[in-house]
Amino acid sequence: MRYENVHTARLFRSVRLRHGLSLRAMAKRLGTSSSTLNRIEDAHTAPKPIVVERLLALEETQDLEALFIQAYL
Amino acid sequence: MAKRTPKPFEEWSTSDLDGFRAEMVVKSHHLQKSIQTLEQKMEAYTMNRRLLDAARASLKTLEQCALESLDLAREHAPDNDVLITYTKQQLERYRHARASLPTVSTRQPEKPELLAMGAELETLRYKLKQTRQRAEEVHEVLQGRR
Repeated sequence: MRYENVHTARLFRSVRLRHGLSLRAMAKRLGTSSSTLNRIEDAHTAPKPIVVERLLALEETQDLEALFIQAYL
Repeated sequence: MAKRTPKPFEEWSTSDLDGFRAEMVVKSHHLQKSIQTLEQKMEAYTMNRRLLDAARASLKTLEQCALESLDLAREHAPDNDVLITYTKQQLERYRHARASLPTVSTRQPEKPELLAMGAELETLRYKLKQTRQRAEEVHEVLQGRR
């Protein structure tokens, strides 16, 4: 686990669970592999910028701050 | 010492021109790869900063909300220990999370380094343009001979 990735990991897991998706289904939507998504959610790796952009597109927002608030609540 | 003026391409042998053109094509390829790598590094840096800034801002908002809730609880329900303790815990949780955020990412370069990367990117793009131009010049000379 990498310390600087913890918050992003939480964000990704929160969005996935809110959509009720499995790792595999979410990974497919984000255009990545389930093992990579697993590593992102475990804070072992940082997502590529394109993956963050796809997450925002999935949420139909550009407001990262609002997404983080939902993740922390 | 005076700088030697290179011979114009028209005076080169065809095999030398072929070799030089191949060299320029390979060089262009390497430059393109370097540019692509640097662009990806800069994008990752920018996104990382964006994520950290958003996380920090959201935690600050939540911390403020928890602080207001604690004030309200103390004012309107001073005997409700459960509520006051819970609100305090929430406040501490957000404070701790915010304090744990790196001011800048430990793995990413500082802003001056981003500027340096930008300057390096410009240099590489200029070199690529020059290299492609030379390859094109040689190509034209070769076409004229064939």
